[in-house]
Amino acid sequence: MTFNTGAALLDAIVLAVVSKEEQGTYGYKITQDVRQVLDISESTLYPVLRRLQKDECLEVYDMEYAGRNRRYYKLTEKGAAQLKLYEIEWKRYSSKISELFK
Amino acid sequence: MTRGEFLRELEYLLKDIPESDRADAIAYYNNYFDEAGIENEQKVIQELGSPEKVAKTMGVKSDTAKKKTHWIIIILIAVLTFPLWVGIVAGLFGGLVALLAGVFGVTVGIFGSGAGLSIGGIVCLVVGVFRMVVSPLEGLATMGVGALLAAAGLLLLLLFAWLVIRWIPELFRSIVNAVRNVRHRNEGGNQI
Repeated sequence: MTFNTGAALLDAIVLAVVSKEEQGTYGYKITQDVRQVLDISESTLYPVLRRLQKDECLEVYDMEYAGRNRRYYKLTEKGAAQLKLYEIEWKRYSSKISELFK
Repeated sequence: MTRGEFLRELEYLLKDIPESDRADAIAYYNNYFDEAGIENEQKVIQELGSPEKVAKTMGVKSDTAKKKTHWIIIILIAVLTFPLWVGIVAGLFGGLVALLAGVFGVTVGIFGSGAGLSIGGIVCLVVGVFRMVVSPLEGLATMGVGALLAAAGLLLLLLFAWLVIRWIPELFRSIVNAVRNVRHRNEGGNQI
């Protein structure tokens, strides 16, 4: 990957990935999904998830799956609003850059 | 490294962060391994790198970085307390010099007395031989005293020779060793 992914963009991507699942999604799947788009190390995401959780953009709940607990991450209202903000920002930012490349 | 070892080591490295944060992180990675499945265990461990690397993403300094700051603090304390320990160091150094000077003085003293007694004794012996001509009794007594003196002197000279050959090199060696040991220990400590 040529371009750096800053903390804000990483937050936005994680929020977007989590928002795709209505019921929430779990750490391993989030990592795999993000890795579809970004070349990041598996250890990068936990601190991001933890921060978003502390900022109340994500909420966590445990649900039993295949006889053990699975920790799900779900977007909060604040998280959804934050994602909306990121989307608007990204559109503005990326269209400007795209314009430049034309 | 197995999953269990990885998580145990991670837990240990996170010992200084709040309990709730540590429990959350361990639960997360435990979960992560569960989801990845046993067949991917080694792949996940490889991808995560090492427990140290994971701990670092949580803002935990590695042990070497911690040790480095420890050393900086130790050096800082050493510099700040310089007026205190400079006296102790100077005192120890002075003591060492005094000890060496004392040993040197005693050695020279033994040599001097030994040489003096020997020479005196020999002179007495020689004088006694001549005195025999004049007064055999006096001559005999002088020779006897001379022999005693010479014997005591030779004993002291022997003691001196023994000191020089055996004892003093031993003393020097032990002092040099002690100094070297202290320096080695310090160097070893620096490397950590």
